[in-house]
Amino acid sequence: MTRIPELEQELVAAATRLRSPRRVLRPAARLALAAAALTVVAVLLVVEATDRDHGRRAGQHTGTPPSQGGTKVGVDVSAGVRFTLEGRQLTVTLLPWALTETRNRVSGARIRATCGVAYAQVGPEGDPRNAREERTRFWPAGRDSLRFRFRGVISSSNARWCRAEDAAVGNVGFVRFGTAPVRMRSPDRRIKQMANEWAGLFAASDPRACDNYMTQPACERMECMRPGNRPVENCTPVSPAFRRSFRGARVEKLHIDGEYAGVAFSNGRTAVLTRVEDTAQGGVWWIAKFRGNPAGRLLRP
Amino acid sequence: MSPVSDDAPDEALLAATRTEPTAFGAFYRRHEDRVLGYFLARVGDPEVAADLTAETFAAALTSAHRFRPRKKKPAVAWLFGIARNQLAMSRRQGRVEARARRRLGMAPVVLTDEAIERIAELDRTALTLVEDLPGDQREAVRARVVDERDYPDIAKDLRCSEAVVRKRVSRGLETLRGRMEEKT
Repeated sequence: MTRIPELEQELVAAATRLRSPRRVLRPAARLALAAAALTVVAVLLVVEATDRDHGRRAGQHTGTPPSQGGTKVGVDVSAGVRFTLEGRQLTVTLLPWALTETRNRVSGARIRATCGVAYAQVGPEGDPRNAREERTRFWPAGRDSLRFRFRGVISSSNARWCRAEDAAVGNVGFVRFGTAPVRMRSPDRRIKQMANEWAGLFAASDPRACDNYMTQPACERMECMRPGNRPVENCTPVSPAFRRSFRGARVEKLHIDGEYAGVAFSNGRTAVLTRVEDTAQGGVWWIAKFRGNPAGRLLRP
Repeated sequence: MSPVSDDAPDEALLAATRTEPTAFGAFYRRHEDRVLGYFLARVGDPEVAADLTAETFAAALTSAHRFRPRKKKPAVAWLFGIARNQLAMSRRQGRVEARARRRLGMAPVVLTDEAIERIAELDRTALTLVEDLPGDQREAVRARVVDERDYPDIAKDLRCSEAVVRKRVSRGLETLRGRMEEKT
């Protein structure tokens, strides 16, 4: 037995994730793959719409036998999950850019897939427009996709949305069929969005600033405390005035250099963000440095 | 492809990591004590040593595919190169870097009291072994490795030349290495 068996397990799990095609692909290839996937989705949506029109012209109506219902495809872009409903068979697939969080969430968990017709309750109970159906299956560790077979009223001919969730930890992915595919975002827009959101939460001393937008070391330097009440050496906690200065602050200048991005806020302060995950929406960027003038070098023309 | 054996050389384990994740587990098991001991002797805190060890192995995992075996630089030297960098960076920044672990999506390792005790034991074992060294070697190793003093300073204290101190430290570390291997 090792002295820290949990660390050995974490390392082997990380090595397993590295082996997956998502990690082996370089970021540029991942983006290309994402673009290709979205193109396929767009084409399939057009095909589906054409099929529906054709069906309508041929006098078909809802309740068509599932085998003739065509295929519906939708992608939850932010989670990196694709839903393919072929007749009564739903395939949930993790795409190459799926978040690590999503992969961890499904791996070895019981996942419930639900598809439905209406987005909200319409008419009385039992109205066919309220039809929905769910199936639960175990998602084997290391697998990228899982199939669910509906047996009742739901099929590709009537379903308008699908969701996959873990009963214990919540949502894995959600799609509405027939809506236009979400456009890929550039990292610039994503970074500005994340930095602006962080500034507001940081100014309000909201703990989400740390939980959702900052790296662990940056969080520790806010209060100069490490987990377990261990102080960070040579560190002064941020002052209330410093926090307040971020109230209403917006990103005015941005420069990306590989894994790092420097931003200058309208309050004259700067921050450095680091990319912690690649996604089709421009990645996930966290505040790594925010004291002093950390982005001065990055922003210098 | 047949799975790589746990007894395979370090270089083979690193090369197999991409296809056989458990190979990195074997690499970790083989070097855990040395890396933990290295950090523990320098930071004195089992939890910080564990944090530094975790980041070192995570960084090693992310760059394992770039490792090219060379005659003069075995895998263990490469690993300790990463460990030294982590230590230097943590001293410079006043915190332990978590970048590699974040990139790998690794969950933070929460140490149990038993794990902390197991790590602290490593330090005690090493210190006991230092105490068992012959007198001249013990003084030299303690001054150089434990107190991290400079050679000229130690030489002045021990009233001998720098070369003699270096020789004593080198012989002392060699003896320690042998005894540590006997223990494991």
